[in-house]
Amino acid sequence: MSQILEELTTEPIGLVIAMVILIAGAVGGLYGYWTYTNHVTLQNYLWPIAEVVPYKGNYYLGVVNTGYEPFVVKQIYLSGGSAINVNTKPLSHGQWLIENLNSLPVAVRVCSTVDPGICIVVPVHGWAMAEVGVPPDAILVVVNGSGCGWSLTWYGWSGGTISYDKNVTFLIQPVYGDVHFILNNLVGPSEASPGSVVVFNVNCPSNNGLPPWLW
Amino acid sequence: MGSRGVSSVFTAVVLAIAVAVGIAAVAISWPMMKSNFDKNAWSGSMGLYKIGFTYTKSGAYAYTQNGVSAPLNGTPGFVGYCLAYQVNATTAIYSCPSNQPTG
Repeated sequence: MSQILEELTTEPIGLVIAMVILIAGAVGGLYGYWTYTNHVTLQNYLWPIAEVVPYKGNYYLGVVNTGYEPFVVKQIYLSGGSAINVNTKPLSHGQWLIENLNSLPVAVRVCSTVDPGICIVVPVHGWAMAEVGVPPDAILVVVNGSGCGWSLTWYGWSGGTISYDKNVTFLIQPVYGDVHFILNNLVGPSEASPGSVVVFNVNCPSNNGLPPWLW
Repeated sequence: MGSRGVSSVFTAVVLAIAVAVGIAAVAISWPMMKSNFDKNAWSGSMGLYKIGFTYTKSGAYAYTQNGVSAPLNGTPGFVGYCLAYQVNATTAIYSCPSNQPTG
């Protein structure tokens, strides 16, 4: 064995053979490494975001491509352990897939359209509740007013009046001080400060159904 | 003497190949390393991606940090990279990239 090695390293023909083997090995190794890095690079640039919100007893799933490598959504994994196969059109940057589901989705599997063999599984982000803010120079008025005619008048830093027979939400803006209310067929506060929400509920009298100007 | 010369050539060639493989490996690695940095930066930015809701004279609006805003509806819709809808006059339900996973 050592004689063969000796000949390989000292004779010219041995040198040629050794060089061919070495170069082939180096090129093969580099090619394999290059394939691997390509795979990892494409995987790293898959930037999907999956989100879910509950809606009318179902789950509203959205998957968006926040990156620039297009992908398709292949599978949606549900909380029960089952999975739904989907095969969407490729999603480019900023494009969404929306699905209405009966079960809570927990993860999605997306595959690159550049190389369909490159896939990743991403978790689905859950939901939260937030308050819809009222600007500091405004008062949000919510009238739960269906059933009969009502009217609301306000005065103080801002003045106005509205009459309706249905639910209304509106903003009194701008106001920089307290506002007072005069209520007709409504139950609620008599004044409000800027930045607050006031809720009025309708209180129908016996002359049901008639608008206030006909009482 | 001849065999020692061949041996030197062999050593030189092996070294040259080793150096070439090293340089090539670094060059090949660069896109992958860059993609790792980019992915980390993206994860960080997504972890901070939030949404806010406010009333305007034309109704309730949702807005995200990167300047995207859209009217808030009673049915789920997307605002930037978030999903959001209005439940009642003062409450919204949303899901954003910064939200925790469901699973």
